[in-house]
Amino acid sequence: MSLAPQLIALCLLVLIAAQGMPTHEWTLPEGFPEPPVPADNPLTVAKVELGRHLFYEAQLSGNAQQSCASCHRQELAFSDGLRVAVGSTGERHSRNSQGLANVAYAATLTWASPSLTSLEHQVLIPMFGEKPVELGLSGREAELVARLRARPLYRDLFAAAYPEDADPFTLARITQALASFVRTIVSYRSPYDRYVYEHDERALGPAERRGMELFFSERLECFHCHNGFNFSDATVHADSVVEATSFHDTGLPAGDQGLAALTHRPEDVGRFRAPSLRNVELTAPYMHDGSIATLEHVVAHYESGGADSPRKSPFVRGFVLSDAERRDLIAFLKSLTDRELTHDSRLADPFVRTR
Amino acid sequence: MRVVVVLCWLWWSGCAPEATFTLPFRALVGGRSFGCDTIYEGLGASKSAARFEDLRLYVSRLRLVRPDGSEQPLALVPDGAFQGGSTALLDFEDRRGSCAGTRATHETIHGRAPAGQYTGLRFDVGVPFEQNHGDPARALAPLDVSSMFWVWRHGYKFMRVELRSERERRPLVVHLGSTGCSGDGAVVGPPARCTRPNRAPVDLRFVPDRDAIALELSPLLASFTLEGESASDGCEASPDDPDCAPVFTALGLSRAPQQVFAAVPR
Repeated sequence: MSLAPQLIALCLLVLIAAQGMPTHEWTLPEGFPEPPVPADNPLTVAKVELGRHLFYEAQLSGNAQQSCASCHRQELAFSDGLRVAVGSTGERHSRNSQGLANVAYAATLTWASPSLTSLEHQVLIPMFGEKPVELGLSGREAELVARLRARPLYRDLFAAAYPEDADPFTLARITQALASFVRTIVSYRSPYDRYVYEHDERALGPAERRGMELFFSERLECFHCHNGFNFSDATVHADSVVEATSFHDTGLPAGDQGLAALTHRPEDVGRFRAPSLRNVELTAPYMHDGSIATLEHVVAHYESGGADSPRKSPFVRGFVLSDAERRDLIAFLKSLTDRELTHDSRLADPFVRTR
Repeated sequence: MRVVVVLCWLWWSGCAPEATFTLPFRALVGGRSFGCDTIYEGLGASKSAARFEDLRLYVSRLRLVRPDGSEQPLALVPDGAFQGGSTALLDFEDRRGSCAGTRATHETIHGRAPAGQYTGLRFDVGVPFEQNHGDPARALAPLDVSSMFWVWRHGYKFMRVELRSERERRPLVVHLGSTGCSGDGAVVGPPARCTRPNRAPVDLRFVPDRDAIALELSPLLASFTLEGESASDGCEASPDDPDCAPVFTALGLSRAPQQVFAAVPR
């Protein structure tokens, strides 16, 4: 006798169960692409809710002193305001914490990791990385699972997120939930978005519009690396067909190997992925090393063209701005700020009691 | 004629009784048994005293070698923890003293192969390419051990040797694994190849039931300065790290034969 009928029946049941799970609604404006979602980790409301709790959960660090949110604060568009990240044991990272808004669209993750394309995989770096220690969970995966299992809150959240699992308390289920929540941190409600997607002419003032012209000009060249709806050339979305593969040397002083730390190719030294400029007003300090404190200084860096390097991006070659133009450019950059993102209760810390 | 030979071989190999082989590994530091509690003197170029904090490594693709040089793959007995598929995790640290890993150890590999005469043993230090670059959160034992995850390099640490000097309390970390990994046709994407796979092949004259495999750490550590102003913090397998060159050499990843593993009488 064949097992096939039973198997098909079981598969159907699982499918029906999965289909029955409410999926996350993007609520994006028309024309704003949806981010890619891996087929093996469908974005359900229950999984996102579990992920939100895990994201803000201090038990997710070895010494229970930090959560993901420690370095990715909602009020700062999920960045941390520090020059470089500081882990749960006090160890300093060599690089600046990136804002997580729209990370779901990032072609590759972290500042320069060419093979890291999945959020499910990426979350393992802060959890288990040892150089530097971030959340400090290396060697403590069993303890992590035990800590979560011990809390009734998580028994309910895991069961709701993974109703088909006999035991959902696994590392894979934790990373899937975390990735699902992080995937929903999408910024699309800035004045710029109202101007572009809702055709609200009043959303941008004259200074911001002049700044936008400068930003997208061949004179300044900003848009070559910070292009498209996400203001980064390393962007993918649900319907992308071309892979974005860009990493750039922005003319900062040498030090960090950048992409070459992984590829070991001399031509990759000092090359980094261009981050999205959305919410850039909130994500200071700037650059991979956090070495530039303000937007004004970032613009000054690109005006000067930065330090000479044989690998420097051909688009970083300096330009001249009047004081008024500089103010306009910065006004435009600030029009990419999405204040609703920083107050969205769907993205907020679930452990903070509402006043 | 060829058909007859093949049929005979199939009949013979199909009927040859399976036997269990135990391969005991002995970790040594300058000839002394490895232990988490032990202070070892004279380590590295600086001749420093140090205590170990970790010693774990993956070995894979184990093959017994017949007198005619042909290989018989050893089927690892899965145990849900240290052995699974073609990969085993050797774990010499027992969480005592200076070590902070797992209480359980795994120093003897159990495998099955047809009974017969074998005079050699071959294996790789490392995780096979096919298993090395997947999602570790979903991996099965022995690839589910987070201390061996090497996520920033999109793979596993093949070998994890950690120690701390006694006088200056300086840590020294040797992590070996594949580097220079990139996607297919482009730089981006899950690794399709690595410029430095760093899977160290080991080929020993070895008689099962008579021999054990010694893993001598001193050649790995011989060139490191553990203390003082020029102290090294170790090697993370970067091909351009001068501290790594002697590690690669000791493991036979340069042209010279490996100096770490040897067959010794039990």
